[in-house]
Amino acid sequence: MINRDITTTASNVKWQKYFLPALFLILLAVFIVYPIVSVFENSLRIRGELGLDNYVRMFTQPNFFKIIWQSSLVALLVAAFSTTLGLVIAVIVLKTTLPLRRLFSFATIIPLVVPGFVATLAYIFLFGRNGLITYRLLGLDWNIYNWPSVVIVQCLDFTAIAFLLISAVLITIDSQVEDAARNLGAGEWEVFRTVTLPLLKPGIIAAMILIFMRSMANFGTVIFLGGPFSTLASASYNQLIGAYNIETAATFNALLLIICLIAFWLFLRAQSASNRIRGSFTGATRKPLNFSRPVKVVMCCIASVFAVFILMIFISVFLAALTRYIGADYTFTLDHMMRALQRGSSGIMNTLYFASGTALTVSIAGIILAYIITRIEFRGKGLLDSLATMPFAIPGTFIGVGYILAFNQPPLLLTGTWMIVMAVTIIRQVPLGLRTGVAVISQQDRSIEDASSSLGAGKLTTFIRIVLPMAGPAILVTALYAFVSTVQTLGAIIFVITPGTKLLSVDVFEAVYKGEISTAAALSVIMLVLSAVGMLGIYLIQQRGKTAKWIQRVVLQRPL
Amino acid sequence: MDTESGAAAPVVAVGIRLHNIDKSFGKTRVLKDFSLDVFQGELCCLLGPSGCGKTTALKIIDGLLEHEGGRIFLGDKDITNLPTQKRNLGMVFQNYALFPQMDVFDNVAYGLRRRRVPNARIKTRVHSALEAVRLVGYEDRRIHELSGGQQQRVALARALVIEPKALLLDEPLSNLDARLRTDMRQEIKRIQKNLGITTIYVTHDQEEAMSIADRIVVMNEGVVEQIGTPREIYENPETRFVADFIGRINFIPVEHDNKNFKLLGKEYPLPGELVGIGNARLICAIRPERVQVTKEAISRAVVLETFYIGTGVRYKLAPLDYGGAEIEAEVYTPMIIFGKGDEVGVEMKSEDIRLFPDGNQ
Amino acid sequence: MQKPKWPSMLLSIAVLTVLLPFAGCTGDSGEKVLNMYVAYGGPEIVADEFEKATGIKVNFLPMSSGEVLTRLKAEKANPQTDVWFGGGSDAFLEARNEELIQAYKSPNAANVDAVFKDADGYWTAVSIVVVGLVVNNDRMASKGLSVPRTWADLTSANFKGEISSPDPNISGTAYTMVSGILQILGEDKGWEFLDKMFANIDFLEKSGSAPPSKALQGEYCIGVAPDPHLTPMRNPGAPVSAVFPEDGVLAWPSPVAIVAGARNLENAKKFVDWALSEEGQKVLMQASPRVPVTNVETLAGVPALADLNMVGYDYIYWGAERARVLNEFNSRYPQYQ
Repeated sequence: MINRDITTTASNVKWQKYFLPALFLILLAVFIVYPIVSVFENSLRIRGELGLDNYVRMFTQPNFFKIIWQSSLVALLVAAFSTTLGLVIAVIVLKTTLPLRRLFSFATIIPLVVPGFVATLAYIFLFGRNGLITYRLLGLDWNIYNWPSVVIVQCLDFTAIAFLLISAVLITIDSQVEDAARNLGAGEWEVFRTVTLPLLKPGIIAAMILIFMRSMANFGTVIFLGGPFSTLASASYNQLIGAYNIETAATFNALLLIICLIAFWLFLRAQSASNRIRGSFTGATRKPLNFSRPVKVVMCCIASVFAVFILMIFISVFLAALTRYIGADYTFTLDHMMRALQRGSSGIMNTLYFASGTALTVSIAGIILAYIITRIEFRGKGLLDSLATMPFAIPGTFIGVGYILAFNQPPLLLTGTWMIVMAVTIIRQVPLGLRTGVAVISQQDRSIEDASSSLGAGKLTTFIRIVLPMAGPAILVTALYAFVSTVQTLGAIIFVITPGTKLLSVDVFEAVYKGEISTAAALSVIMLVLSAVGMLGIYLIQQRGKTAKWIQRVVLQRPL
Repeated sequence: MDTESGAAAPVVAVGIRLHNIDKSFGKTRVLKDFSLDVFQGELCCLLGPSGCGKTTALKIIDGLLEHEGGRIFLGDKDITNLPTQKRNLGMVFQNYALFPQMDVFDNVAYGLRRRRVPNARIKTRVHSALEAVRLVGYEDRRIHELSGGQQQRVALARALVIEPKALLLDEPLSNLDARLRTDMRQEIKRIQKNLGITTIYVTHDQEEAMSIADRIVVMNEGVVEQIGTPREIYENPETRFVADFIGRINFIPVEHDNKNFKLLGKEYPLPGELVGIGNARLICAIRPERVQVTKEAISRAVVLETFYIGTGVRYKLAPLDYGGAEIEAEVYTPMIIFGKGDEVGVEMKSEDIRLFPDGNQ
Repeated sequence: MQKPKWPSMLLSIAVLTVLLPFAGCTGDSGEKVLNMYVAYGGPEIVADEFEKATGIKVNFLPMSSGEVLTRLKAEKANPQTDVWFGGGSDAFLEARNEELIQAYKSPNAANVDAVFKDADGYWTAVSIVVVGLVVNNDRMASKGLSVPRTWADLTSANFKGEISSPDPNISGTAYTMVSGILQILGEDKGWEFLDKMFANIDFLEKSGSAPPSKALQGEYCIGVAPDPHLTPMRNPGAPVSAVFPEDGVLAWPSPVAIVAGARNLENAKKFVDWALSEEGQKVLMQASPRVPVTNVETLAGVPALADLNMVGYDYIYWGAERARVLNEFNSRYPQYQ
């Protein structure tokens, strides 16, 4: 009798054990793998027939190949410049005592809350052919619709990524190593070059790869500022939205995805390599580097130019939102804001609901998925983990095409509904939820859960009563990050929304598209407020949280 | 010019002097008018509890911390305003501060490279340094592959290879386990003696200081309590703090009448400098091993507990007619061992008794 | 087995369903309901007013006309909707060829010019999209240029580098302009004309809304745009105005059609009738200010059909010639490659 009990329990357990992973696997397969397959399959069709024609064209027709070449070049340039800028500013903010540090760190992360494509409007306004600075002030007839403008604006946007990533590493460097170098005779610059910089390598590499991926996936800036210049992402956008040529769009996106996945794979490898050489620096003390005058001046200049650019753009956006007609009429008015609130009201509400729904789903699903992956052994664990992290590497245009192709027929006819939009926003944030959940759970002491189990609690009870409460603040933070991220999200959304399912980011995009700078600016300000509220929430929670105090340090710049 | 066991020829040793150093962190004064005179070629320990300022003093000597007021001398040279890079002092940090991305060879070679020493010379000197710390063959190892003890030795080699004028060690052994600690400290002592290099060694472990130091500087709350050889510190503590901090000691409050003092029923004359001290209260200190336990004596006590400590016996005694205090006595190679409840006699020689003012410490 | 995820999923689904005005689109024939795919502005207004007028509830799904086409193709065996309202005429042409829409000659279609409807009644335009110019007056003034009135004016060398145009390979607007000029002037003179005109254009925008937007921002003096009157209307106070070339206005129809196999056929017919009636046309004018196909009164800023020198643009012919024309275009102007 005992034997029978054990086997039934065992098979019950096995069934229970595999249920959730299987469920997640199916969901991820439907919403990640299926669209990917659809895109690749479609790229192999030319006018309905199977064939490699599309790819042949892409690599042989000169202007197609040019697009590939251009995209990669720009992405590499942007990655290099942004990372350098981010490095310089991170060093200034965290390792010097220069007076304007706080300003620099503030300016650098402004692009995180102001949508990138609005920045392009401001950039045109300031530096365009009719630009405030270039034309009206300096009288230059300057054509900015070329790839250098794209590089500049993308750098303004993405430096924040490099800054944050490098800062996170910089904070963990214990000054003792630098003191050791000084003691052995190294001048300040040598200390930086031979000790600090090599220790920053993981952050620098991560930043470069991530920014490369972001640049490859970026289409907004290219469309508005590129002029004749096209990239894979902008070409696929135009093919889809402009020409409605799905097969060509699919082909471009297929290649784009392959490039991004390779970059992502390199990123993961670099991460694991750097994890091995971690120094055991806990409770690090930070001492500034006392660079020589010329070095300080150069660093300051670079950072200042950068900060000035960003602030100019930021201020322009506010001016555009709050004055009658920026450039012509500077009388203060709340008209644009009122109109934006009205016109965008459904967009605002929708954005709030989508963002909240996504935040809720992602944070909870994320922690459950994280728990399954960290604590339970089962076959296919690695697959589940990789699959759930993959959306991180998939460009927005790809998801857009993929979802249109995958879900425009029964039984999964989701196009035109809010469900496809929700699916897109959730899938985008799943990697965030998972990674945060994993970080939180692996920090928790397993023995507490083991104690709970040995006292007779099933895995579910343990999860609900022990793991969830301990992870509470982290879940909340994840939810808020997902919230802010969704508010800002544009990429994939633009392909699956319909003129009815208004979202704030889409409203802004459309306004920018039409060159309506006042409306775009007003809507951006609203978006900014929503994002800021979310960020404030994150800040307040992390004030009390034990982990990751560096946001506080970095943004508010506590004294060294 | 390499000797068989040194990183190079013994250096020309210089003394280190600190004059009236003040250091505050925010509102806290960590070093108060701190002065120190380290003789050339000696191993001087800065000993004291956490927060007493010993590491701060060391870092100030190396130029890693700013200070307010006071001067620092290396030999005859005033190095107060000299930046760290130019002081040529070898420093071993508490967490070793090895460069994690470099291998052992590059770590040790770092200082030489900064001095633009030609590559061939670097090779030989690094090899000698590793020989001195017995780590030859480890040149290509990565830091995270090394054990704590090995890392410590690499840190030492790195500091010595540059032929510094003096060696500064900041609690170099505190991260190691007990056995390794005792072995390593002898190593360090041996190397130091071989090189004859002036060394300042910071520690909170008094046993460590006692076993290797030529002289000990006992510090507390930013001031120097006493400077002396281990023997002097141990046998003649000058302040209550020193008496308490070093070794085991009994503190017993005593009554006095300005001429004599009374301890456990027996009277002793006050030492010369304390005669006529007025109303100040006094407390006496005596080492447990100086407390003689006999069958018969004027002062009597009851054995509360007996500990067998291998080298002898430690008694916890409650003196009779005294109420309150417990004292410890240690007897090495005892002829009899008393048990719990036994009544014994307690004798103390007046030259073994130290007296300190009570109430301020 | 309870999964903690469901309650929140259900909650968000519930919340969203309550607050988002979308439903799927199936309805039974005979009921007072009409399903519609819409590629037209202001669909809520249209649906509202139609319901007020006829009591028929409209379930509409807004999407781009390319998407409608794809959907209809996919749903051919089992049509999910009744009416296709708004979009590019080329899409409707293709839909007719693929038998995705059915013929219905509304009595009200008699008011509409033959140019703007399918001869067999497969589709009828409710308004037209006009190709014109958006001009930035301030920039013109600062450059000392005078506002162009005709297509011919654009060939003047004064405008070099100041004209923004979309790429005819991608944009219907630009293709209409190119082929329209070929129609007006004939192919030989037409290409000569275009040579001069495109000599003034530095690069081609990838989207149709970029040129008017650039003109609005003052980046270029002139932008070739569809429905150029919309730009000054939406940006009062901006120094822009719309120009409808006096030597020939090109336009393409914005049609409505009944889907083949529509379940609510009667209601669909009623909608077509209404859209072409005077009341319907008034509502459409409010919903999306376009040049109407009938002579209903236009909003301020919107020209009436009669005010424009319309060219009878043969979109069927030029639709078929598209590949050849674009080929010629791309080889004549390699600077845009």
